[in-house]
Amino acid sequence: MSSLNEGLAKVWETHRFTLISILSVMFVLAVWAFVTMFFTISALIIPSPTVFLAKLKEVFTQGYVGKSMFAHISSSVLRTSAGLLAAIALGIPIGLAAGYNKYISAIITPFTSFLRPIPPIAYIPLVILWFGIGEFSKVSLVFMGAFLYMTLNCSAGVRSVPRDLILVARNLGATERQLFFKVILPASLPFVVTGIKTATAISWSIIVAAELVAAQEGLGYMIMDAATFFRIPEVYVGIMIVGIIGFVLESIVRLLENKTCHWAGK
Amino acid sequence: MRENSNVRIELKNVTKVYRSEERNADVVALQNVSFEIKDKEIVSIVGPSGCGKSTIINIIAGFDTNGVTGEVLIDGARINKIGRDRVVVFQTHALFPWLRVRENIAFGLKIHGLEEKEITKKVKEFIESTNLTGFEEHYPYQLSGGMKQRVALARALINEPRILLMDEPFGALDAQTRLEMQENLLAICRQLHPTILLVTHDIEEAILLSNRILVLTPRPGKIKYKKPVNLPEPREYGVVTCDEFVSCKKELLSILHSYKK
Ligand SMILES: Nc1ncnc2c1ncn2[C@@H]1O[C@H](COP(=O)(O)OP(=O)(O)OP(=O)(O)O)[C@@H](O)[C@H]1O
Ligand SMILES: [Mg+2]
Repeated sequence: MSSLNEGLAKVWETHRFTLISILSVMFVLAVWAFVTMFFTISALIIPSPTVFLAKLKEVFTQGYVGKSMFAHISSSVLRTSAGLLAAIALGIPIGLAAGYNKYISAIITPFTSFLRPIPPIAYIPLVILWFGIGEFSKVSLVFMGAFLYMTLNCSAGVRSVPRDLILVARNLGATERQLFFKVILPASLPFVVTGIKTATAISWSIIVAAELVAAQEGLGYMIMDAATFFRIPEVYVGIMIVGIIGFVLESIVRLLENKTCHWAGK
Repeated sequence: MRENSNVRIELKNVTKVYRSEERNADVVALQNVSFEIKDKEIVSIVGPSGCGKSTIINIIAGFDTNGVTGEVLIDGARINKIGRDRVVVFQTHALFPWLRVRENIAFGLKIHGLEEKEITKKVKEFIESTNLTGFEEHYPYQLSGGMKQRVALARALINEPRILLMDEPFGALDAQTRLEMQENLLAICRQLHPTILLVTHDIEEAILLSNRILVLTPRPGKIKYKKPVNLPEPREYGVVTCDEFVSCKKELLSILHSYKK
């Protein structure tokens, strides 16, 4: 009996924060089940867990409005990835260059400072006007939001490189090129990865918002369509899938971060 | 030009002004500083905080040439840029945090495209001489303060610089570790014989390690006093109790003390 107690104490000691998180989630789920079971709340406002799970199963087996769940999910994910990857591919070199060279910085800073406080969703009407409601307009919206964050983070990364590290490299005979690739680039990496992390989260929320406005498939479209036709359980299902995929995307970037920047901040 | 080939570093009337954007806010950090350091000599600079010790190191290293007047000569020739013949060891070790210990040490050799086999061999040698065996694969954040400073020392020395410029290299270490580092440095000097300019705020360290000590005045830094240290060679920690050491320490302390207002 006492050894069991000891075992439990040990589990608590090492995993207590994970356990607390699990309990916290279970508590909220329990409140949800309790509220929907004992109060007469219409499934049109908060569906009960059973209704929710049934809908979840239904949309995954039968799809939603004639398209499989896989089609909705993959079109949202593909749009996000296309815009995000383009933003990363362009944002890194431009951001690093702006951090490294004061002239380049002077050229782009007025624009980045002006655009930063504007939420990307505000461009939706413009983007539709310019590019129509096709794929390109959505991808370019994601690009606009993500690119700004990539650029800003990368240039901040270069400016944060400790002066001593640069002096050491110069002192030991590094050329400008070596200085950039062997010191400035690796030293800015944590900022670059933070940029990717922020840009990923932003891209995902932009795409869902964009699909709310104009799309024929995608998770945002599904949520909006379901709301329009009062299929509230499907709205909840859509929101939950958006959350889970966002979490997965973030975890992938965090994996990248742990692999490349384990030394940062220590 | 002077024909004394024995002189490695020479400063002639060096004055340094840090220019400021605002008017009348220029700072004169050094004023007419002149001294010579001979080949293989170890010279320390002591002086109150803010008197321009780091400034001297930065000027000789070639890190900062703005607002410098006077002449800085290395082996009789004016310096005009940073050089691998004079390597700086910083107080803040300045290790590359993303590189392992052996990669940090190899940095200078890699930059110069030395053969991989040659690099491995030399790195091993310097890891042994700085007592870092077993830590080759560690990252800087996994090391203690003393170890980090030994890596920084090895990273500098592996390039076989003729001049080592050290700016309070052991200042951030505890007394015990500092002692080990001082002995480590003395041992390495007996092998490689670099010329060393050492900035320190620790008078005992200055006396223990150097052949000569330069005392600076408060800002603007001028050389107040050049004190030769005649202690038996090779140096070892035992000398701290001998008469010469004690009288030297008294003398320096009284000078530095007179600066306090
Ligand atoms: N970049 C700078 N711009 C303006 N003034 C500076 C700059 N760097 C140093 N100074 C000034 O020059 C003087 C000398 O600085 P320095 O760093 O050489 O002093 P130090 O003797 O190394 O001091 P410490 O013992 O505290 O390290 C100081 O009074 C400082 O205020
Ligand atoms: Mg200093």
